[in-house]
Amino acid sequence: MRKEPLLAINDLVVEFRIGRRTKINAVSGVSLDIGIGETLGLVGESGCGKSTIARSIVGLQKPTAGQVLYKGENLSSKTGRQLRNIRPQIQMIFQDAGASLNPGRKIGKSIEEPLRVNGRADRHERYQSSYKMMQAVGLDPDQMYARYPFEFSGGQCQRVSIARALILKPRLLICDEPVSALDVSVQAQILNLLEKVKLRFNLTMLFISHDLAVVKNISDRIAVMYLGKICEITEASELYQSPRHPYSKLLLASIPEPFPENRKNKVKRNIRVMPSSVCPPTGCRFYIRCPKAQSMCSKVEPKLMTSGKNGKVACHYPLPNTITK
Amino acid sequence: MRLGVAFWISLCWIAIVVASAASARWWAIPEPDRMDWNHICAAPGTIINEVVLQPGKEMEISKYISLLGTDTKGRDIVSRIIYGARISISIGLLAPLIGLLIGGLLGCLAGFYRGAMESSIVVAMDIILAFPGLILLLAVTFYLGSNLQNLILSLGFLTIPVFCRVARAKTLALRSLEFVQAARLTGAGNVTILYREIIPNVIIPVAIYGLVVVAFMIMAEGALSFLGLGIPAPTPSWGGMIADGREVLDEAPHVSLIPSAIMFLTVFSFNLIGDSLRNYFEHGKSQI
Amino acid sequence: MTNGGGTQTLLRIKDLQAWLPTNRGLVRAVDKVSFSLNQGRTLAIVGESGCGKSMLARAILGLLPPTAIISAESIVEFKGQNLIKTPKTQMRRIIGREIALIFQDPMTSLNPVMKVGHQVAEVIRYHLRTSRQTARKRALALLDLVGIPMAAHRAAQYPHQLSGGLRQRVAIAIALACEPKLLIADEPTTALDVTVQAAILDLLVELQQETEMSMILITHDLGVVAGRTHETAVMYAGKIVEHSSTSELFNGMRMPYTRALMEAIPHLSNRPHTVLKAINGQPPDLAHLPTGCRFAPRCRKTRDLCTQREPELRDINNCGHRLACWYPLNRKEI
Repeated sequence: MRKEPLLAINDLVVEFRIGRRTKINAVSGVSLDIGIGETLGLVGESGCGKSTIARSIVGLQKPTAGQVLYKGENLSSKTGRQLRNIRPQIQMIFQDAGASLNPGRKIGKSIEEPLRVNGRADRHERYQSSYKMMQAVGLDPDQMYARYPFEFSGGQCQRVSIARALILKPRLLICDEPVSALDVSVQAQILNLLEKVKLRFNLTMLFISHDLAVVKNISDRIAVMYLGKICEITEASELYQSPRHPYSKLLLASIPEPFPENRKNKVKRNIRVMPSSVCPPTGCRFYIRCPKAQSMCSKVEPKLMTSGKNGKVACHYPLPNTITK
Repeated sequence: MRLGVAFWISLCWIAIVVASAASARWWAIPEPDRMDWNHICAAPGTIINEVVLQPGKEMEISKYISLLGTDTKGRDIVSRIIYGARISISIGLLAPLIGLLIGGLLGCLAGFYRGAMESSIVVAMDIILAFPGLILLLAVTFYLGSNLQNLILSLGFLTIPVFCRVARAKTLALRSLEFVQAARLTGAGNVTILYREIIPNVIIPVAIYGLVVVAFMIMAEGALSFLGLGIPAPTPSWGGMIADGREVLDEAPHVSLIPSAIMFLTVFSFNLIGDSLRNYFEHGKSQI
Repeated sequence: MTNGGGTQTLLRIKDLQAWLPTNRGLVRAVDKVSFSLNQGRTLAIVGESGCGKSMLARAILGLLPPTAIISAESIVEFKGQNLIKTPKTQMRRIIGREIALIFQDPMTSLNPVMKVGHQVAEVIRYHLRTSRQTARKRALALLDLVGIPMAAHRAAQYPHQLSGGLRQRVAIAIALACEPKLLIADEPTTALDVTVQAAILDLLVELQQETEMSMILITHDLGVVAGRTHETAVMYAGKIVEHSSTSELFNGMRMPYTRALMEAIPHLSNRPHTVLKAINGQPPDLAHLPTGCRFAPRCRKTRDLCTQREPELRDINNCGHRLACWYPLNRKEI
């Protein structure tokens, strides 16, 4: 018996117009939902539309069609005043943490800024909140409150960014490739931090990345995207053990596995042709790169159908479920 | 990166110029428009004897050294330089201020909102730039009179497009950075974002650029006065003084050269200050 | 992974030191680094951001900022020629021709206003002095070699019209245009997607094996090196702390830092929500280095000697596995 999801996206479509003639179909009919307290991972290559989905959820991007439902209510049908109460509950952290901080503002003040804008607290309370939040993300407030972003490394800037996102006590945190620009060692620190704050602040998370290993570690369920469409949604562990969609299998095979003996899923990668989102092909969008493609795949687009216990896959010939019960 | 020696020396010079202009009244110098027909075009360092006649007292002879000499009408050059500085500094500082406030704001609006607002502002700026500035000044002078206020306003008007361009460029660069999007997420509206995120980061580079405009304005005033289009005589102005000394360039070059040198030093100082500040701020923001 | 041939030493670095004066102090970006590379062999240099690996590449090529200082004892010998003493005019003949360099961000390393085919052809014409037709033909062949589909069509495009992966392939084509003896790839895949990373790395390895050129692969991700390079050197705070053949390294990492780097990588086989073994703290400020071992403040196995004296890079078992640690991990801990 599933409870009502905190966030649900129904048939989201986002199209961009460049110039007068070119239209980019960034997101073409995506539906997914995130339960309360869950972490949903969203994974896919650059340009597949995952960041666009994130921006549509937080209101930085207007969807061309479809609905974004938060706690069951459609966000696009709300007035500005109603949104003002809802928007602080959905916050986001970005990939380039340094650029997401105002370069002329001290980081302690940057963390306070959301409180200031919303008129929530007076000066003393803001300082206290900022101080405590800095401690919660592993920064030393006494040393670092009055410093500027350019004095910090990428990892530290990301901590500041997380602190700022959490100060309004949001329910839903969207992480748009937060560790992609960081060293592997710093990446581990930030991922651990995100798990920690998720528990402490009772967050629901949407974690976006192009790196499946990172996503798998932090997510409960994972949605795989390709060129604006969802290929597969399933439990994180099941995706690894038995990917159903050929693209999921390709992604798994691409993870740089340090120990060559563990390199399974060696798939012949066809890198010769790369389709674009300006002119999406008819039928399945993965057709050209798919090692298992057959004639129906180029004509009819597969729909997202239930597979297994909790998963969904959009493929005419999904890979067999190899999980033994 | 520290502010170098050049910056401090330039700052001192400007401080001297501004301070002396402001406190001119209290200096023991002759009136700037007092003509001494006995000592025209006197060389710097001439000792001038003056006969002071006061009713009921004895005749006194006082001597004083004219530090920089006198001009073609016997007026003391030091005094005229100092009083002329008032004109140059007023125009130099106030005209760009008009440009900065109006042009800077328009540039920020154009770069931030884009679309129709940007197009219309850019077109307006292009029109002002294309319009011959000299004609505008002539027209203003002719119809509204040639005084300090009109000169400041019309020169200021002509600097608006330049500030608008710089502000717009900076705004465009900033608005695509994530921190503006992050500010939106906190619930900030457009106006809040403009004045809390964009403008504070734009104003410093634009103001520093403005110092170069200041230097240019001082030169522009000099040129206009030289051509007779600036502040009319007898108010002293550096350009006017240079024009005065044109006829006697052979015999008494100091009449033109001294105000030229003073103007050069002032303009150069503003440029140096602008450059030093720009290096200082930009270097601080970048990493190794 | 075939064993690269050639016992001829192509590149010899000894006691290379590069310092940068900054307003924080003197940054010791590269501090007494020594290694040799033979013809046909590949070396991976692995380290976190700020450890000096990019500075090392630039120091070898003489591309350091003008304020940088290279100490007098530093030796950088390429085919027997001392590169530090070589004048700039001669270096221009070597860089691009004998030694090629690939940067991290292909968007800024390609000329944005020149078509990509032209950029490749330009390098060929400059170094090899061929005619325009020959250069163009060779450029197209190279673009095809690096796996760019529809090479002729793509050659007429500008960098911004290509994806990140394609741009990096163009950069590789430019690097290989004159058949260099040594290729230095400075984090070539860090800015790319994971799927493209694998393809680009495999391409580099494949091309290296075909042309028998030597390669130095610089990266911060230890995971990408396995099975791809002959040797691996791990750098920390300007020094090499472990250096051995890649297979030996992955079979037995003796230096705690290398071990920690390895453990920080999230593995696909982890159960979800595993706490990753992150390395606490941050790399030291290169202008204010601690006494003793530079990794000691973050190491889990620090003992007294570690904070007092700096360990030197020594050969521990006489088969080329060099290590700079007082208490290397023993067999049980690996």
